[in-house]
Amino acid sequence: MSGSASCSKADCTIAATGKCLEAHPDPQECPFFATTSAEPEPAVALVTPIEPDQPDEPTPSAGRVFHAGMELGFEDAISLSRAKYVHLVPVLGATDAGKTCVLVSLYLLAVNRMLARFRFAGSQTLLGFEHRARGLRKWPSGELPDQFVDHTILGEDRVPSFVHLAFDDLSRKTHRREFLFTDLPGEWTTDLINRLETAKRFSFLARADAVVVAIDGKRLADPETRQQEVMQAEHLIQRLKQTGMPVHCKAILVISKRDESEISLLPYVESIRNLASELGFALNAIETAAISRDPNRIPNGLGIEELLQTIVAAPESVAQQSRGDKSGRAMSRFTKSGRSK
Amino acid sequence: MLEKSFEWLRVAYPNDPSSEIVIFRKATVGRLLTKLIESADEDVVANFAVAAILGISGRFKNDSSTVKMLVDEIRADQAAFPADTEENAIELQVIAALVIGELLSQTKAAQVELRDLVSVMVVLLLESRPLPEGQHLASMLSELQGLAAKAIDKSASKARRRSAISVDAIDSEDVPADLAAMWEVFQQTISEVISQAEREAAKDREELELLWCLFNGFSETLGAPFSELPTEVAAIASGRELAGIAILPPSSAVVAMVVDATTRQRKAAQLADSTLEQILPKWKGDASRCLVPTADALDFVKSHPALFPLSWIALRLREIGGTPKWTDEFGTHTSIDGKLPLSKAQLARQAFFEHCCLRMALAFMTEDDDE
Repeated sequence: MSGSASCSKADCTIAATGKCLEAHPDPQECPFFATTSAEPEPAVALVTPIEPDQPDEPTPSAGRVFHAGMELGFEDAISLSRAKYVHLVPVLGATDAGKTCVLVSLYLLAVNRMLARFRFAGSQTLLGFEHRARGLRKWPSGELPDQFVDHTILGEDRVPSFVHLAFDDLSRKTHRREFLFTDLPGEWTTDLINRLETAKRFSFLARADAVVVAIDGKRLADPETRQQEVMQAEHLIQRLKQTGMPVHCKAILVISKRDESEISLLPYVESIRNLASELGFALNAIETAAISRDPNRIPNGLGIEELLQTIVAAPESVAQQSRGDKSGRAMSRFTKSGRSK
Repeated sequence: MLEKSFEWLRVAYPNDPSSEIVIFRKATVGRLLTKLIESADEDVVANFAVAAILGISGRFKNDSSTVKMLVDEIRADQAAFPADTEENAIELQVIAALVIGELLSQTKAAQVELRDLVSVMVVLLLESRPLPEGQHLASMLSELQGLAAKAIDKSASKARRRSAISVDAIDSEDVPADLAAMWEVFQQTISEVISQAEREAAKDREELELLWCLFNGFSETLGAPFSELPTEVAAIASGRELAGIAILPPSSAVVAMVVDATTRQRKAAQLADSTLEQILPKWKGDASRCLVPTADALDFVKSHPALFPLSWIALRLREIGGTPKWTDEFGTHTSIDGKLPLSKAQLARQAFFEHCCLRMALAFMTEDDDE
């Protein structure tokens, strides 16, 4: 019997993509999912009488799904951020730009106590980091999901989602910091550059504390691909502005694979910085070597702690509005002094 | 501030909060605001201000009246809302901030007094604490700070606006027919004129007393010129004494005078930032004498250490006779790190606003007693 699948959950695109927003491997298990048959069933089939003394069939229920620890979906992220302030950090960049390497390097530095200012204080996606560190968590081949999942479950392929890290900030007494980094396929970034209509999936940028844009240092070092890399980054910055990234949000340009070039690549990103400045963003550029090929020359994890420090750096203190005194007379001269330090 | 609901709720929702959530929370804030205004209780508003600025986590327990009030009102719209602060602390803080923001935006005459008290509380809570690093949380608090400063400005300006005393009512040609009627009219008229004269005189008196205080540069409480006191003590003494003279809410000119009294004739080294750990040993009882609240304000200060950190620690040190481990207790109760560098101007402003806030809260307590 032929039939069509539909889901009553808002935003779920299972009919088009075959991916359940609730991350059920089998859509039939999803409580929102329904299969409608093309040919209507005979009415009698719907009103099959039940014997009065026959026990009810156990109804399959969604039950409680335990967190897999691989990634966090949107609903999981909301639960976390309702309880504690969470630094939301989207990490964008084309395929092979080094996004995952930066996250893995941060995790490895943290768990090996190699960060000076931050002490690892847990992660709800510990298994996910471990799998990424071992190269076991790869994007599935074929068509990639085009939206975040609400929840992730064990056994699920890698999906657009969040990874979580918590740190104790040793520069401040008993100060816990929570971070949610996005784990997105590079294709999402490429799509955003090429097609503005895909911007809807980046609506969370409005809430971001900082946006990390990763560019491939190896391609930037190569004169043949340098201009292309710079242009891609410039287009991305323009798209971010169009997508609704607020200007007070920190923009951080991560130039990856520093260990694969002999010289500093910072001068090559000056035009990106200028463009960002014109658009109202203050762009920080950081060179990183997540896992160095030549640790004697460029240490492992170069720039990773600096990246974290830039993310948490206090926002520019909004100057307290001057308390303009209008009481007149002799007192008014004191208002000139304003709020002295 | 309800127009900011969507933006502020983003603090708790990584993706944009749904329209349904925004509508629910706006309704919740509206009801909470009504409750706060109706209660006009200085303790309730102080707890809301603390919840909005410093947050819920580690400060309010699940069964505290503030958390229960917030959760109950949210649940009236959304039954499936967690009651545990382990799960909802940030969202409760945002709701409290929206309520405080709405209160700071009130313009009705009946609510101005409460608005002014909350404004001073917000300024006080942010005076000696850095804004949190969380971008959106900091932005929300910064907006609250701006609203509070604006509200204080508005009321301070109004309280000091001079006007001519009107005697038109006395000059009225309508002469009552009999003595009893005349007395009734006369009593009302003369009472209004005297009240107005009294208000005008108070404005002049404030200006005169403040300027003389500044000219003399002499602490009446400690019996010594400000310039001869250690800067750490002069900051407290000038803040406390000028707050006792000022009409409330204070104008920015008075705040500048407090800073001036503290910093005048001081060398750069004396004005260098120092931590509370360095400052407190220099108080040697003098500053504590200025800070320890009067008997009628003791309970309020003890109940709200986060709001009155200097007064609270002065009181606490006197109660326990001083202890080298005060910093831990201080940090827990006030959320201020004893190692955080403070400028002398900040210290003076903190002492000043603490006493202003106490005076304003005491006025509310007196009103409660009258009722």
